[in-house]
Amino acid sequence: MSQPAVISIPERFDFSTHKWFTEAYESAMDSTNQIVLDFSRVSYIDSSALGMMVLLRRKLSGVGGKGYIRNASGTAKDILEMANFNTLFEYE
Amino acid sequence: MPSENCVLILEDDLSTRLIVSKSLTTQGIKSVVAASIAEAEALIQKHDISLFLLDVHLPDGESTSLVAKLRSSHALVPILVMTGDYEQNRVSEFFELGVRDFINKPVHPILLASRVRSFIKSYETEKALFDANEMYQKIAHEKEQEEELAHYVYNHILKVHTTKIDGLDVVIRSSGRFCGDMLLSAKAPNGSLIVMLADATGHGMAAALTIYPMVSTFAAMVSKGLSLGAILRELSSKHNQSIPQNRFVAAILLEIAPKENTLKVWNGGMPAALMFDQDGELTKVTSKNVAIGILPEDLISTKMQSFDLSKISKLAMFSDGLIENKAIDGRTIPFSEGYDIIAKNLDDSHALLSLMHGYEQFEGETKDHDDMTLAVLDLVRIQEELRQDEPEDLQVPGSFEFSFELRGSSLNNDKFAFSLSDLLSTYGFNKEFCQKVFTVVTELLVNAVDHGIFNIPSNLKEEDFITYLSMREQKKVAVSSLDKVMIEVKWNDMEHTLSITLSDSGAGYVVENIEKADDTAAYGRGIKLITSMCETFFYDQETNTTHVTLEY
Repeated sequence: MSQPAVISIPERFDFSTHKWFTEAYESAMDSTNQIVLDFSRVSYIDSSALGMMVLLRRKLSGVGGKGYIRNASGTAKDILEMANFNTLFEYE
Repeated sequence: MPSENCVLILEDDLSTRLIVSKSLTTQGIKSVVAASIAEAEALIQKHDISLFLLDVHLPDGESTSLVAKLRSSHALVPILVMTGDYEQNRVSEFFELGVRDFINKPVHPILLASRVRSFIKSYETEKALFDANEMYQKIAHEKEQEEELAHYVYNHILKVHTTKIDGLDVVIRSSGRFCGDMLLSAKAPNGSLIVMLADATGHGMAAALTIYPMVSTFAAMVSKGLSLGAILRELSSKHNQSIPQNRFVAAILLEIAPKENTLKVWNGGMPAALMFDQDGELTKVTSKNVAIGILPEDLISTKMQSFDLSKISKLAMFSDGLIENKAIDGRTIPFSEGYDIIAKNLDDSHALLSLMHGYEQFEGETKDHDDMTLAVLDLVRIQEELRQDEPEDLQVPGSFEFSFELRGSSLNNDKFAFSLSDLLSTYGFNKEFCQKVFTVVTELLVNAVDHGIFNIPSNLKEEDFITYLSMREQKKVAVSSLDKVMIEVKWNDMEHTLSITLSDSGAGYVVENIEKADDTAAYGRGIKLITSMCETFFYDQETNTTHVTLEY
């Protein structure tokens, strides 16, 4: 198993983050199939963030990899739970 | 300009005066001559004298009176007295006055010159030593004053940034005036308690200074409601910005979150934290990370060790000074044994500190104690106190309402939802609620703009994200001034509800279609998110208006 890459997501995880986020996981996936999404800083999240996470999860599954969620809290945690993302990502 | 380093010759007898001054000149020693005490006193004002060579009897008195004066005005300058045999009985009197030595008359020129030279030399050494000592005194005084100031700031910063909480017992034993350990605690807006024990490299003022920048950052980040991981990153970033690269801070960060029933621990380079369950069973939370300052902040791991809070009764954490370099009867105590001693003696933390201090092992001649800090957390009492702080004040006085109409290119302002939630926070709504409003408004806007006005099919996000993005970019550029979104925000302080109404100039949407989408689809979550976060959701197809209310 390769060493997981950690992506530290900014305070606002929404549509405006998509370009950065996509580039971040694509470059990380050059060297690993394990990705940790660090939610430590995330306060604001919307459905396009969830959409982007689904796309990431699909790419990871395609290469036999796995995604993890780290330090989600507050509303971001509620939203991830509401969307049943524990079935797509593993909580660290 | 006084001539430097010359010998003053006081002699009323002209021939002796000439012999003496000539013998000095031959040896390269400068001199000035006086024939009376009055003349000598006048010369002393004008020259930098490095030695006095005095005759005893002079026309205007005995040179004893001058010697007394010189002892206070030229304390270090050697005085030699030239005496005849008949004056030998007065030697002790002169010595008592402070005369260094005697030259017998008649003078022997070569002997005289070499004696004078030797006294001048020792005078110079003495003077240099005296100057150095004076400089040292001055520096020591300045240092004392600087330390005074630093100490004041140090205490003040600690006082301002530490929250006293029942159940958190802290004992510190510093090796000097400044402590390189620091224990900080602060309550977060969400009802959690954040505690940090930090230990900087080294000790004394340098170590304390290394921690300063973290202290204010810590308090500010906790009150802002940042998560433990985010606080850690900010601390790391602040440290890397302000402290030299060879100075590190080992730290344990804790988050006690009664609402989530979790205890989170991040240990970077500290001894293990000792955690006890209700039965007194011990778990060691060892360091899984390197100290702050070693890695750049984007590489620091924010992975926390998380525990079930309800199962833990006590936690102790301490700086390495408490456990390192300890010996009993000359036998060095391994860490494992040190942990056992600490675990068994936690009931009296002061006594424990003294005990461990007594085991201190000195290497060689250095008696450098490391700072010792021990914090014992009674988690039952802490949780009780945290719960007492609730219920959170949810009063937002008065009612308000405002409406916005976004037209044309202003629809592309992707900071609108964020600014609106920020605006609400100024009315006193808590962070959690503002975060919800952000999500709801974002979803409503995206729905209205992307699908209503831009007419982008929602399944395109799923099928071809790239096409969706490029389509969105095109539409953004081509937005017409007739395209618009109307938003109404209304706070009712009696019912504690925030109503948001949003309508757009687009074609509208069919709610049923979207609700069918499942969890693994990359689209169609928007309306689902809105309905799950709002108390009421109503879409009026006639007027293409969505009405939602959020309860506070």
